Amino acid sequence: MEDRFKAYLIEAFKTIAPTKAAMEYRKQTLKAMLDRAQELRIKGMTDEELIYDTVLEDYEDFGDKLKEFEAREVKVNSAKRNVLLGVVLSVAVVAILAITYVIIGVVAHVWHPTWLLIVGGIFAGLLVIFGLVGAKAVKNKEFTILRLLIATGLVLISVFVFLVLQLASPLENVWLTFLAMVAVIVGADTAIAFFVNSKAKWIELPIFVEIFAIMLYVMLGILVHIWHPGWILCLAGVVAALAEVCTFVAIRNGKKDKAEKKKIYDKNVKTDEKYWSEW
Amino acid sequence: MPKTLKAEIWDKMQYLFRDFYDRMVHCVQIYDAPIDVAALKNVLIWTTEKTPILHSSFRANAVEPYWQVEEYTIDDILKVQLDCEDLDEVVDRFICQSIPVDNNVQYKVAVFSDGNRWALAMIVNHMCMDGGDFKYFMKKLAENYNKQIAGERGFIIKTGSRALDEVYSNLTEEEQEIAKGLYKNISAVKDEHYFPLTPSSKDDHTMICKRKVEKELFDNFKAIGKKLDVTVNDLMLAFYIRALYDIGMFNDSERLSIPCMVDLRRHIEAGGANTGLTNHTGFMVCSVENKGETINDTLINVLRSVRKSKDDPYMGLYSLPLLKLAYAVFPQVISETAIKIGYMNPLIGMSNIGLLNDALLKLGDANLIDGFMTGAVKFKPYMQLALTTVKGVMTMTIAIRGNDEDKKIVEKFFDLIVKNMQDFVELNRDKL
Repeated sequence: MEDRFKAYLIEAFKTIAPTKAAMEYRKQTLKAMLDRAQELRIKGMTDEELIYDTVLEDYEDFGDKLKEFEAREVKVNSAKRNVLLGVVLSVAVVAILAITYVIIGVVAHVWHPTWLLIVGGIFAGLLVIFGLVGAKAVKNKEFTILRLLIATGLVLISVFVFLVLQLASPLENVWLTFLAMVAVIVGADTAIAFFVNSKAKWIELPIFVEIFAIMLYVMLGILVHIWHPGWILCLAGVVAALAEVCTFVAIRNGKKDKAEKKKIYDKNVKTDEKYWSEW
Repeated sequence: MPKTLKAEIWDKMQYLFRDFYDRMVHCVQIYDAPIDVAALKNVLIWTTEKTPILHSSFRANAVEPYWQVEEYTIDDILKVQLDCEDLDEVVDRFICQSIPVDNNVQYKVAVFSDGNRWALAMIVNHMCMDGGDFKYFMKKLAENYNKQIAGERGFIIKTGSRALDEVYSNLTEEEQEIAKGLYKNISAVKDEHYFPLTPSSKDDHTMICKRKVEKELFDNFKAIGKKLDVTVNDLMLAFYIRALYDIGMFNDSERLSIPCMVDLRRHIEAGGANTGLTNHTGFMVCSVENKGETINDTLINVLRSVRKSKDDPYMGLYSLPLLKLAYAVFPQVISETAIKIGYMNPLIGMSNIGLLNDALLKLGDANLIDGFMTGAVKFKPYMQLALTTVKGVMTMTIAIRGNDEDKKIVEKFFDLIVKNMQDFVELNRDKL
């Protein structure tokens, strides 16, 4: 059996260059073939010819695989090294920020709110990780993961902005950051829905419009006390959302009407050659 | 890491049906000469290797169920006993077993013999395939077996997609758009007639009741049917429905609706030859307004109903988008509950499995002399009549979990069906 597999592989591998990689691939393939044959025997297959044929059936497209093997682009596998560099850099940045925090504390006796440096560093590190995972998610078309990452990232940014404004600025009502955060998260999610051409985009858009209007109304009410007639914003949001839904349905109906009109014309007005022959 | 396979919508649906029946499909083929067990073993392993679903266990994950490919040996699949005293009893005992979903193999084959007859029996999890593909499987098993004993190669078993969407593959784009919008719940048949089995009891056990229809009688009503341009399926529906009126003591003027299984492969490219082994079964509902004076009147009532279904280009495709939506939107645990609420399993049904072609099922020198195929064993109060034909002899089977009293009721029911056949032949003898 082994000799027959070897003979098969010798023929098959003639189509590619006799490199060290090809030799390793051939060895690996022979081992897989022998393992598979052994497995079939254990399962109860007794006909050696059938075992040989069944193993080769698994390699029906082996010619294509060999072509792919030869055409593959062998790149320096730097991914692991880059990850290591990323980890070292992240640790270094956090350490530098921590040292900076300690130096400022010891020299200038300012311990607060300089600790934000460390929080900011950690958040930035997380955002970088989210960015890397998000890029991979886009590549693999795993958009749910992307949406979760963006929402979580926006929460982190909002928390940091809130902390900075609250601790290091004279501004009041900085908690309104969290109201804005809700609108921004829904807005970002809607943008992704349009970007990936999700079916849910036309449902998300009116929801975003309404949430944006409500948040704006509350924020303006608190900041500049225009509760009245600010409430009109909420209703305007509803009107805008309804207008969008109506437009969407009208466009969709228009397209369907057009297609149906064509069908009616083809069936009832147009001469059909099949009329003369088909029963 | 173990290899996993996607659980398709029909796999999940058949899993849901565990509340209504035992999920097994059964086949028995009787031969007049020995079967080469060694050759069969080789062919079975080859087939199992090419069809991973057959050596996988079903994992009923609460979010997304899946199949996990498992290791096996031929002993997990094949059983051989060549010294049976009572062949029919041994075969019966074999086919009346059920394979758990978490078993490493999803089908079992047996070769039994009493020295005069050789039986090839097989049961398979309905989640893996339906009657249509089971017939295909048995044909290919015989074809590959014959190649094996002849020392030929080029074994065949289809290994394509098992997805539900394959069912639309032979429709035009326009038809597909319409078919994919058929959300109507066809299972909601407004009929509460049930077959008069006894209440569930501890004596209930799996039984496959069989009755053969004499060749002469079958040939006669088939010939009359041909003259009247009526199919065997339509005739059997008429005989069946009329017998139901009698056994159930339903009022003659009552409306009676019977779902009849239809093979959806009519909508699939190349009749489903390029899909994987799976389920593609829907049903059409046959509703008769009343029993009718004679069997001919019942037949007219049946034809009036069946014509509507036959003229519908989307026959059997209703409700499929609804199922797809439920499984797509919700995790398994919720979708199953939602479907259970909306789905009403038909109380009475009929499935015409059709011809087991003896020429295509021949195993070497062994000729097929008898056999049948039947669906899952129904739990009370559900029941279904299955029909198979071998060498011009029709076998009616009703697989139920019942007791001896139920068996008597089913036997009486078979008598009534046969009487309707005889009445039909008598009434239309001039057309012979």
